[in-house]
Amino acid sequence: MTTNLLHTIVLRSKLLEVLGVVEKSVGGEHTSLPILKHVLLRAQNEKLTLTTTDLELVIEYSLLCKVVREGSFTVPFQVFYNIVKNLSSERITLEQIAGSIDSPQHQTLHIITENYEANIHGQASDDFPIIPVLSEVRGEITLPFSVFLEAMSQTSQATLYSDIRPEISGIHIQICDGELAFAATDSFRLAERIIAVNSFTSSSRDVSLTIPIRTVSTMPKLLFEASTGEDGEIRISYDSTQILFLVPRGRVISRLVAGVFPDYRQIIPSGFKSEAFLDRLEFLNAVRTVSSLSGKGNDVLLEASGGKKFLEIKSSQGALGENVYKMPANIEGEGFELTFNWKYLLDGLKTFKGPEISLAIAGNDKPAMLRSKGEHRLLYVVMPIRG
Amino acid sequence: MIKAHISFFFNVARQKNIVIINAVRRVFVTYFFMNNDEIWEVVLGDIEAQISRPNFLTWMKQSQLVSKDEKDGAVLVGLPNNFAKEWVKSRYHKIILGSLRNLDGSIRSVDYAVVNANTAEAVQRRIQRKQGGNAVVSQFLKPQEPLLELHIDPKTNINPRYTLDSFVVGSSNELAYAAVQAIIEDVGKKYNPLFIYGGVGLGKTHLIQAAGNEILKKYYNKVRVLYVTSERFINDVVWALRNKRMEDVKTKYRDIDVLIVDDIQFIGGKPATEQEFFYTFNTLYEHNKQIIMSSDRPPAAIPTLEERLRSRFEGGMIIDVAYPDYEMRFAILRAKAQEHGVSIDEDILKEVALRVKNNIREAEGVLNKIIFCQQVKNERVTTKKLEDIIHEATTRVSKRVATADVVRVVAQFFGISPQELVSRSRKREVVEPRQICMYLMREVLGFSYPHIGEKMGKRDHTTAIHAYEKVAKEISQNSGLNQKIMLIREGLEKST
Repeated sequence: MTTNLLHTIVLRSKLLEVLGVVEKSVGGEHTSLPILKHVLLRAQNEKLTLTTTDLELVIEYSLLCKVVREGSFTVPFQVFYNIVKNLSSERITLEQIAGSIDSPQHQTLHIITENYEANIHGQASDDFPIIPVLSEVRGEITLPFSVFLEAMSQTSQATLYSDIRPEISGIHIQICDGELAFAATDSFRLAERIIAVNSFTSSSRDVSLTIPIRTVSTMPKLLFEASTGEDGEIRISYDSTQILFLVPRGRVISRLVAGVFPDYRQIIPSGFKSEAFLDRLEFLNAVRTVSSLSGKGNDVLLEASGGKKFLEIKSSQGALGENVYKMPANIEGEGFELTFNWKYLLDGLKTFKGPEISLAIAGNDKPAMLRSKGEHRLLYVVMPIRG
Repeated sequence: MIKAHISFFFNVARQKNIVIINAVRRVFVTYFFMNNDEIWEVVLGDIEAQISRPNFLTWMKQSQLVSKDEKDGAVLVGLPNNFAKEWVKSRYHKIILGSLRNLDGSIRSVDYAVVNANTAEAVQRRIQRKQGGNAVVSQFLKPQEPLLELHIDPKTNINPRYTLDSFVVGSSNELAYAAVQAIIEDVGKKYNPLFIYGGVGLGKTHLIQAAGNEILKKYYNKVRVLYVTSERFINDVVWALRNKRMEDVKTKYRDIDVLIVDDIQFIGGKPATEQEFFYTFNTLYEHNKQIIMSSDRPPAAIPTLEERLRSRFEGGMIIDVAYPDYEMRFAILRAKAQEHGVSIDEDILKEVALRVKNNIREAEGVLNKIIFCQQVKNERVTTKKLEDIIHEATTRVSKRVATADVVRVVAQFFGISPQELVSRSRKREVVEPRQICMYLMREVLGFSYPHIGEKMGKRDHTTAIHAYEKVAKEISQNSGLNQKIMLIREGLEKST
């Protein structure tokens, strides 16, 4: 191979940040191909670009540096990361050393600082997987980091973290009536966040994609690094099987979830028998307190009957005991008595920010809905435990 | 001149030969020899030899030959993801093309595509195969099933899942059902003790636990109910003996209003337990406390049970739960399916009811598998698939039963020796077991009549026919005989 030998000088703090971003897609313990545990370093145009992939996800991120000689090389990620993390001096020189005449394969990366020196055995960049490109771009969406991140974090906790039903193991994005809807469900609850027309642009009117939950989980770190204190814009483009997230200094390429996300809008209840208006933080606290005595099914009972002035939150576990939390509430409509999984309730309550929350009940075995006056673009639907 | 002719001839022949060889090879490949999978198998072998093991596993393992166009010699290779596609295209294309052309000279080009078991199209197809769009939605947001098993009340030990409402009543169990209802109305006064017996999986546990549940519901807090399996009772007694805490057992079991004991037959042959149970029984009985017991056989047939206990058990009401008939089995299955909240084709349920006769638990197992197929794997259960499921669920024993097992188990059941069973004796207590034995050889082992005669002490095949037909006829009329045979069958299952 006649590739140039990489030689560059970088700042430790910058390198460390970028290593933190690309860490998420390094191949795991059980990967069959050893090079997937490596990070690809490419020095070019006064930039050092780091790439990792586990063949599901690619993260690529770059930092400014002084390029002495352009080139590319791969080294084991974990070793490299550990060294950079613990170095004390800010200036690091990275130089690729060619293999000797006896073993041309044995290339190393020479790391030098003013008080430290190391040689790490690496592998030629030719052996690193080729990063796929989008074949036929179907559309492109652009929106601010802050909006994108908020929508992701408000919906992601409702996702199914499992491969049993691949079609719902991610966050679904679609355009409905010109607005962008983020939704996630694990078949017991559903979270939806809608982004208004003026907050995003899309090249297509007809968008329907599901982003794998693992890809979603890499976003906060990526966007945090990319934002550098101010709000930037993320560009999302996609073809039939892949999605590309583009931020100023980096990109993430991921597969899309295959399969059709269920038409969840059908089941969002519209009519309710009763609605309870509650102080959000107190309700959250009440559920959390009562949960300590709930059984293995995580069940807590919400009961509104007497006087309609308060809501009772109860749970009991045969061997341990029982408890009741009585909290003031403003209840409209009929009384009710429903059992919920307290984890689902907590997840829902945490997605809202406002001081007041409403719990709307449609009946036994029918979905209940959490809403907040101030945040009408967000809703959380949760199924009760069958009574 | 001649030389030139010969050389020309040879050249033509050689050229023709190559053409012929290629043609033969092509015909061979396309028509007789290999399908796409087999061709790909060969290619993979070639590649494996040329690249490293990790590379092979990562890039080529899940590849497949998707299609082969005979006309323009274009081959499409499917790879699991975009990474593999890019990599294989740039690194292994030459090897693949070479290997394919070796097998089939007509191949001109190879193209690559991402083919995944879970591509959008495949999943879509799977969903569409299920009836209508509504099925998808109803399955999609559903109430969470409560973990009822974990809700067993530690005070009473009763599982709230068992209720009388969910108990399907038919001719085979209506008497037992009526008795339980009478007891609920009038606890401790009417049928005391109530002794319910019947084979495995016929709903005894359901019925007696439901009795407990209904009593609790009716006389809430005023009545103390305790449900135990006899094994639990035995363990308690053993624990108390070891720790010298017999008082604890006495308070636990005597300070209650309704005692429900499941599988009471197991206390037979354990003297200390029997004694303790005898005292408990007497105490409760004297104070008009209700006792409900279940067993797999009537008190008289529990071999090691002490006489004084047997007579106590027989003092109340003894009712058997028989095998449900077809209609009842169907009704039970339908109720179960409803309980699970799934709709299953009536024909499928009918078929299950028809085929799985002896044990409701087994039928439920089949039902659960069907539900699993429908819900989790999104597969429609066809008649053929059903056949497989039933087969899987019901044929686990019969193959391994040997002739000697049948003879031994029958002899043991009737308390005679195997030698006696095959002897010439015509004593009454030997004749019936012998006939039952022959019946079982026919039913369980599927032996021919002459073979059965041979095995049963060199008897004539007509004797075997007579025995089989006599038992088969009597089984439908005489529930006692039916009971015996079921017990022997269970014994056979356990012995293997």
